[in-house]
Amino acid sequence: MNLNYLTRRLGQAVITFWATVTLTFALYHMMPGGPVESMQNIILQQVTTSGGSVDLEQIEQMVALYANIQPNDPVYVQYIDYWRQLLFEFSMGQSFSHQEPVTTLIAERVPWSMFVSVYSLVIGYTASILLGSAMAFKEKSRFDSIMSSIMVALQSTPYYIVALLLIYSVALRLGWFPTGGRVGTGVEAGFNLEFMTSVVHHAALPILSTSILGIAGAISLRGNAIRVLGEDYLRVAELRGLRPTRIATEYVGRNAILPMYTRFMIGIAGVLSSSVILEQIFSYPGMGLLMYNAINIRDYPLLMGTLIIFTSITIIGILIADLTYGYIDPRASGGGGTE
Amino acid sequence: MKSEPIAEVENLNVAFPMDRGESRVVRDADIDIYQDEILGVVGESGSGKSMFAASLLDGVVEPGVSRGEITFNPPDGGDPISVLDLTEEELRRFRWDRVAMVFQGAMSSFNPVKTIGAHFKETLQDHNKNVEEGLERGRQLLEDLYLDPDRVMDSYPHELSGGMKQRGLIALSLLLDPDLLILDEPTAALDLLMQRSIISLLREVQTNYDATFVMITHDLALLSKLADRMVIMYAFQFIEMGETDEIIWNASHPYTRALLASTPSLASDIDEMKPIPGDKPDPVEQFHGCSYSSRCPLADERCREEEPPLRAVEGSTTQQTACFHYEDAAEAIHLPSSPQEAAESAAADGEGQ
Repeated sequence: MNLNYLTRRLGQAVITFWATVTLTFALYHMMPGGPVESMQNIILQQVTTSGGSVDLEQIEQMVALYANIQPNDPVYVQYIDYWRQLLFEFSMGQSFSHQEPVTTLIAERVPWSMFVSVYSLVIGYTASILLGSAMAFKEKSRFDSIMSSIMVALQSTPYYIVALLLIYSVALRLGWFPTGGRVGTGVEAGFNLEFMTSVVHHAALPILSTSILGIAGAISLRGNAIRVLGEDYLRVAELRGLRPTRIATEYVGRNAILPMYTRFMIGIAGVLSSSVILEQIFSYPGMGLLMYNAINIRDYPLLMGTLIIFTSITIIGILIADLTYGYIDPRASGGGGTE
Repeated sequence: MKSEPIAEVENLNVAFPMDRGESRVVRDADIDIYQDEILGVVGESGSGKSMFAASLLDGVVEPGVSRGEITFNPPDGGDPISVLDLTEEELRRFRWDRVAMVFQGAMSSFNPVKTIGAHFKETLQDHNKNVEEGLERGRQLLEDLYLDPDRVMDSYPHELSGGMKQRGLIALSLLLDPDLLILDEPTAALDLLMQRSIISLLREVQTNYDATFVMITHDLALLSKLADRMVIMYAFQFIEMGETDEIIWNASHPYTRALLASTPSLASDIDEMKPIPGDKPDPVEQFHGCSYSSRCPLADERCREEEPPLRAVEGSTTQQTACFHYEDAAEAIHLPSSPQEAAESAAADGEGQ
């Protein structure tokens, strides 16, 4: 890995991050009834319904506090201000629907969403690797053709359909799983068995439906494995009298899984973005639900904050994939050349 | 030079089941391979020579099946091994330790995500050899093949040139000191200069390491420089075998003569080269009589009815031919120049295609 590549790649990540934040910021300001007005309206409504007197100056102060921006400043000052607070104070403003700093809200939700995402990815990809290998091994058998059809069907089924079917069948009709929440009510949080089983019980359905996103990878793994099985080096390895376990893992396995690695890292982004809809279906209070609610009630600081976090996780995932790929596949090391 | 046979092949048949019948790609092959010799197997593409070679370590790709008897006599005095009857684990240990093979596709013979050194190491480990001593031997082999062991061992396959990979594969094939080394078109993918140096390296290696070589090629001229004995394959059968000189100077089968006549050399005029008319038979076909009869100028009724067996050529103890009319072949099929000149010019530009 040369230093030049590292700096260039890091630079690209920073630029992507900057561009996303700027674009989001600009879009919010271009919305009809932008964040400031929307906030002013909401506060105004709150104040009037509670029968208080309307003090415009006070409202503007509140808006500034909540949104991290001075509503009367020109847009570029607001923009610079937002960046300054984000970078130097790690602050994303105050959510006015939750009356709490955005960072605190997100920090509380992120682990839950990551928990669901990481497990769905791991389960989905493990299943796809096992299935794909089995299909490649039994190429052209009845098992292979049936599984291939199922995989194609799954690949074209949106995860939220799966989620709805699951919640209807096993949660509502059969009652095996809860229909929402992260843990059972009255379960004490901590490192105890009851808490942990409750967590797993509640996360099972969201994880299962998101796994569908990864499991369809079995088709491409099957293709990769069949390609490797026909390679000359595999035949040479067999004639070289290598142990079958070594051939299966270091020859077929490794070379077939390699192309899926980048997909896996980028998959993190896909799984995270699916959480917006999925957590809504399962009423699972994670990042996605937080964002969804923020959209509904026009909680712009919160919306902006969740978006920044989603973006950063995606960028970091792809960056790690890029920087580590050279270690996994020596042909890609050095990273030189043009992109 | 006749020593004990290191491998005895009897009645070997290789067949692939196909939708339209069984494809028999090696038919009733009988041959003894002697210790310390270089045996050349010549034939056109698709004549079954690679399948014959792969059978020697029961390595015909699925769904192909080798049937018959292949007996391997370990030169160190062990019990004879019946190669086609080994269990999977026995076969795994037998391969590369007793019989190793170098492919024409050296470019892709290495796992792209492992260093060359890792290939050496895993081979030693999986054959329960001392890794440290083995790697030392591997480095020596690389050096003998004019490669820098430090550089090559740490390199990934894509970091080496084709010639380096080919030599690396030859070193890897000799790593466990096999008694028999099969070279399947080891120079086919290389340029002429590299071919020349690989051939001379092989000669050196064969002398230094006392190995028996079976070398497969369609390049008669190249083989004439290297082989002690040759066997000619046509349409999945052995049709002539003998010492190299006998084959080159006194070829007795019409096909061998036609093959010699079609071998290009710098000394002969391009107009004198004679491609063999006709096509070779389909492997699924059950043909009667001599497989070459449809293309042979000497063929008569008997050739089309009866299959000529491989039998000794008169006046020679080593040369055998499968032709009823071999006495007439020299007259019927003229070589472009006299056989002697052809041999000399072939030897002179041995690496010519």
